[in-house]
Amino acid sequence: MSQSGGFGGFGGFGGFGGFGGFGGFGGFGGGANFTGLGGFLSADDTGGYDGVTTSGLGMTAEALRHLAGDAQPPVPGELTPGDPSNFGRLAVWVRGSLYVSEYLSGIAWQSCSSGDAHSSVLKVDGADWVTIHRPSAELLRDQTRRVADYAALREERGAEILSQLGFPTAYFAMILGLHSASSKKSFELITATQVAAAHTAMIVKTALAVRRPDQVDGRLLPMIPTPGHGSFPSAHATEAYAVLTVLEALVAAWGSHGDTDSRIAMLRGLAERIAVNRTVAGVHYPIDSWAGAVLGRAVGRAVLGRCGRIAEGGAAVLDATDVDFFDHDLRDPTAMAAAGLSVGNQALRSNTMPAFSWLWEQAAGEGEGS
Amino acid sequence: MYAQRTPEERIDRYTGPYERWVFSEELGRPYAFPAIRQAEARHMAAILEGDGDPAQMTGVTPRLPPLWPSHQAGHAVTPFVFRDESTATLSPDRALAKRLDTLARPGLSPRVRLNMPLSPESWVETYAPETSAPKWRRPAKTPKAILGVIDDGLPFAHRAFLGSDGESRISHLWLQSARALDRDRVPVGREITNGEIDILRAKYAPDERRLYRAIGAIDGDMPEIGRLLDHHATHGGHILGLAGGNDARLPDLLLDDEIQIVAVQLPNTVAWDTSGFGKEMFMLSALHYIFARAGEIARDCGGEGELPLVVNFSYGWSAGRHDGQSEMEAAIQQMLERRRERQPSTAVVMPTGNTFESDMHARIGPDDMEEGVARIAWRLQPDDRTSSYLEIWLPEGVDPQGWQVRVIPPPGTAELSGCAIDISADPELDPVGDPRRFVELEQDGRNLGQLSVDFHRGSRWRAVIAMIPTAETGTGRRLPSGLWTIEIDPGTGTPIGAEEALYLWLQRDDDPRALGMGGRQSHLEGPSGIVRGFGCLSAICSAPAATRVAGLRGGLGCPAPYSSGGGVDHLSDGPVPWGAQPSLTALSDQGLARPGLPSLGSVSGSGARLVGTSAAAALASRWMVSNAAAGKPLEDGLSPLPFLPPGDAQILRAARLGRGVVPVDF
Repeated sequence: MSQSGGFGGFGGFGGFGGFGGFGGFGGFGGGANFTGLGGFLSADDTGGYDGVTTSGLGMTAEALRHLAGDAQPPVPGELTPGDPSNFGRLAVWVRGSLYVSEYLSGIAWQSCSSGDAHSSVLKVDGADWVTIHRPSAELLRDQTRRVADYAALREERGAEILSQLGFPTAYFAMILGLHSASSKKSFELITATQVAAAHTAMIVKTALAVRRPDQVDGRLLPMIPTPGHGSFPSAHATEAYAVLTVLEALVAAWGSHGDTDSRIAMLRGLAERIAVNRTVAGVHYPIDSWAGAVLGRAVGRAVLGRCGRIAEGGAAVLDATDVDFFDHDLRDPTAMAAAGLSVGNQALRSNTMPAFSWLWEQAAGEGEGS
Repeated sequence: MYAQRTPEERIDRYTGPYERWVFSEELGRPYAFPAIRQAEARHMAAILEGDGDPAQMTGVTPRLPPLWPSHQAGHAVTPFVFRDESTATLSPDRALAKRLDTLARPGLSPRVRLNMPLSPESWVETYAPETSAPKWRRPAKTPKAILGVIDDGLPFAHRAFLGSDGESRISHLWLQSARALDRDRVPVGREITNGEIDILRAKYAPDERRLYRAIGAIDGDMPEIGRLLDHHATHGGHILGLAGGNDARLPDLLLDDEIQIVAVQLPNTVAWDTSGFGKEMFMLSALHYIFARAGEIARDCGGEGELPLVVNFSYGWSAGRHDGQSEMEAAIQQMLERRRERQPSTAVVMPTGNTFESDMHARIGPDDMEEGVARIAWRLQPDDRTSSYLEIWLPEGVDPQGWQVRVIPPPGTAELSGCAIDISADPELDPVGDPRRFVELEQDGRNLGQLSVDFHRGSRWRAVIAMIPTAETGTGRRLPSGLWTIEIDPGTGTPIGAEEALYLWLQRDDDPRALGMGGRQSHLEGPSGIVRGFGCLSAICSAPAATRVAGLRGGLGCPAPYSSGGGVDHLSDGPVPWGAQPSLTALSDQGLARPGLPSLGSVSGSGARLVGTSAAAALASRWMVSNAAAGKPLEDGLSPLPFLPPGDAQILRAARLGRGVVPVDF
């Protein structure tokens, strides 16, 4: 009997103000994290000085220049073209462009149709990595029941859902004890992975064109605005599982945690929770998480390949069925089969590229205590 | 308009007012909880009183749950479940009436109360109550006391319930609404024993939610068990923790391995719908199950006789007889008396309730009446999407010949019919069960409510007024919200005596969020002193032998403001207690700024706070079972209340706090 109080309400969540303007953010891991280009947007871009400073600098230049005399300027010591050390001289957003370019240089996609059946194939460096079949309208209808079931968790998951609207980097960082002072390149690797995953998800979403749950069943009334892109696969799941895949390798490379296995278990739990929170919110079906997780693991492996790491896996094919989504099931052959997921035996690996390889070496040197 | 039924299809010939209301489509069924509203009612839970035998029903497969001390012992109330084997397509009330008709053979007049329909998937195909539990493991330490807990969402794999050897202290668990196995020792749902919990923990730990999914304790396709354990915290997890867990969030009074736990998880609807209808089979069979398994543990551990047993049952509803004679109370009393003959340290611990400030109870004595007529206002809130219920109880022994109950709608309401009911038996209703009468409250032929009177359990007249929702629910029927007036008029009959009174209680109608039913609590309004918190105890805790626990606000030593009080007549003029009073009090708020008590969340490492007398009862159970395991009397060490001279203040305090304070703090 708990008429008076129950479990202590969470207080209402305030409404969503419009997102403020996108000023440049310094560094990673702090402040807001938006999707799309994430923390790369304007990072390290100084822009122009304010008017007074610009004017003052001009006056100072005129006042001081004569003190240097009239001699010829010296011949500069040259930078070494193609040397990895040059990457460290670049603004973060510039490196961000390089990562995107390197990642996408081998990414292609293909839409296949046969009668009413549609599928989308993601190719990495010329090989078929992931094939995702478009779910039927009946399957979407069946899955709305599960979305409705999850709505019961909205009240207690509200804080997570709202703070995970963008990239949920802070949640990963907390499990690994990352800090903006000592883990700059690890954050950069996470962001590069998220950006790669987000772009990939948008490609597949658009190719498959699947309605959101609230466009199927009006009773779902999502607790956040339905995003302006398709439902299947979930970009949140894609990003979370791509980051999980990369971090599993990074944590192993660090080798500096005494409790690596526990942290990996929590990272997996987090990836699942981030994905499921979107179902709780009412904007994704459980099968969107399945498709996103499959796609995200491929993106993570592609990123690791670009980094020069050996991260081989077989080609995945998903023909989704009416099941719920659990992280454990991604590694359970019976559950995978029940969910319509099959993974081939032939090992696939993406090509190594210089900017990602440089970033990996930097991040791998940031291990706790190393 | 309530359609005429053929005699054998009239559910009101066999059952009480609540069943008629919630199972009849033209009455309250459209607004009932989803579990009751489901299209099919082939699998049912029910209780039978007195000399009835469920096996006499024809066309059904009846089953008795494990009963203590045996099926043959003769029970004040017998819980049972049955499956209707007919293939006829009738509305639920008609189908149920046909089945009940076969119970009412000449010479038998058992009272039957229908409970809730069961999920077919929870029906065990081969029920083998006499077999032994295959995976049960004898505890390493010989048990000295048993703790029973009946509640919702029980996180049985939580580390707080492990013994010092790392093995589960939960000896037996019955998930009443889980998907059934082909064969089991319980008639519905699933039994899980300690050995199985250990195996599950070894296989799935530390991922407890996966464990619960694997065993069916989280099952989205079974609404009565559902995803409750996916939540951060549950009522049952909190209560099981306070009563029987060892954890950093819980009191330092550690529970030894010698205390074994037997727990029962109720169907979600039973746990969350506190409107007071249709729960007894689940509650009573849970109590029998705990008693039976406690005996099994004692026997299988080589002991003689029964072990001390403390059952925590943090549950209740608000409207009922409050004289210890309701079905539940009579059954609890009989079970406690029988077991105490074998083992004096036996207790059923229940909360007093949380309605002291809710204006849900009234006492109307002769002096409060106007020209002999009792009048009280019933405020029915707008935007209420569930039924509302008012119970009016006449004193025992009153001859109601000539009495009438009337409802008067708020001003401006279009004309209604069926606004009055005589308190007498309707001769058209065969005398099966209690004498009774029904009247439908209607507007333009559409039903708005049901007035009923019944001679409850053959000993006391009661009137029940059931009303449809005030909100628009898509049924084309809506009750005008506002201030309704209720008149109870002795008319030409004999008025009540000078020291007697009419007692009124409203059923709980708040909104369990998990069900999203949209209930809004109505309340009573009347002249000063008529509507009161004294007397608003939970309607199932008045068995004399039950242990009733009130809530205490820490730091101040005063009752928690919501903690329901025992009955007191003449509040301001020489108070006289009536009926059951709280037995004792336990902390339920840590202080003004710290409402509630901390306890466990659903998975190891998580926590939650719960405000209410439920938590106080659980704390008392923890203390009592610890005493029992230490070989002491159950209430050994109860802290006395500060001295007060005998008199009015002492009587009023006893009605809130009972005999003393449970000496357990955080």
